[in-house]
Amino acid sequence: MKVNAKKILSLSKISKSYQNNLVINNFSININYGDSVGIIGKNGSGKSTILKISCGLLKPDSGNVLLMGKSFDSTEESLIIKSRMGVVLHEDMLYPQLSVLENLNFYSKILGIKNIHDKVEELSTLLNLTKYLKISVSKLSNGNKKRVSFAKSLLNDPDILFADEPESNLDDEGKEIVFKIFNDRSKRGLTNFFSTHSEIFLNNCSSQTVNLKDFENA
Amino acid sequence: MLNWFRVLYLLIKKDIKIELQTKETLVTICLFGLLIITVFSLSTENNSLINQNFGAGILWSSVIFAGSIAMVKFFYHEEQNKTLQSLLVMPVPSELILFSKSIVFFLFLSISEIVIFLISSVLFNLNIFSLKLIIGSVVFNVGYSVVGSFFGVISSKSSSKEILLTMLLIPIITPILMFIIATTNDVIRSELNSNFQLWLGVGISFDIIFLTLMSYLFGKILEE
Repeated sequence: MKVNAKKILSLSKISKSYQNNLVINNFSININYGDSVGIIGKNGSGKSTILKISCGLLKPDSGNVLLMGKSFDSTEESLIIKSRMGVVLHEDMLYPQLSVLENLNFYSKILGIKNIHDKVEELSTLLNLTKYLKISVSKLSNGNKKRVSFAKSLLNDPDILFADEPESNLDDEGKEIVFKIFNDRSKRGLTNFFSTHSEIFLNNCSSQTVNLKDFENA
Repeated sequence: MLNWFRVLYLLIKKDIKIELQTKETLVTICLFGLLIITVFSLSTENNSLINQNFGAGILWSSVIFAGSIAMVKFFYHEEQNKTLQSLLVMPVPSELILFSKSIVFFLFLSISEIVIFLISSVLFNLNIFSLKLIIGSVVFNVGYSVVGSFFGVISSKSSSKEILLTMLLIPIITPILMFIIATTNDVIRSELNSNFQLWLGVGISFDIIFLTLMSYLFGKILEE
């Protein structure tokens, strides 16, 4: 499903504070379909907050968020948006008691994926997870949990993928795989919006860079 | 188009699957509940007068405190693993998360109550199994599970979650607590001329009001 609008994400004059500590002040950005945008900035500059606001996990104190031309304020529109996006955060957001396969099957069913078996096989091959499918998530290394988290976020082949420091916890092979995923998505006209501290990741995967330092005095 | 019943079924199935593997919630309610009952039974020395007068209170305080501890555990894992956040970025209406949690907790609580009631009837020498108590327990469990699930999410973010949940939960469930204690007293004392229907009306009204209110507010609190 593609929306006939050039802009996929529009953040307009977003502000957010945590207990009187202003983290984001009047931040605006427009991201078009097919863009791969990387945010950089020092610790505490609000990278994760911007991503969480963009994917609807946090509500801004002021400003507007439009994703695929729709707002998170409407329940119906919010459900449509969420069925077409993928999110990878610092936390794995997986059920540690269940196996990798059970986690991926559960989320596939929630997302209404048709050929679950094929999709899980495709992603587990891509992310080198095939041998871990029947293992409980609690027994995986942090790097492999991150890979499962990526697989989960790619189940619906999302129009936009939000990733908070996608390279963290991954070994070189894992990083290569993620580079490939991001670049492949860009070639197919899909959007990536991520935060990173890695220059290499930024150079390899982003078509645009947003430096939060430029917004500090905005 | 989102199929609400299918998503609700998937959420319930997932929680039951996790419980079957960990057995945490059921074991917590049963063990803690039975411990309270046993301590009381030792102190009453099987005095039938004490049992008749305080049996209902002892029985339900064991269920409530054991239930609230299990409730904290039930939500602690969700908060720790951020799996609730994971559902919030999926096409899952927030009220379905509340419904699924409430239904699953209702099931666990009901199963645990059967065990606690069975042991209590032996320890206190009370005949408490009746249709009246079954109906009363179902109405109580619905209200307790819905309100508990709602506050379970709020308190899971707190460092003193056990105290916070109990402090929030017990004052609010007072109407259904009074209803179930009155009903249990009727059953224990074999009283026929009681206000059961009036109390049942109070209990059902509580369930309907809080189910509606909590499902409306649940989405708001999840937005932080």
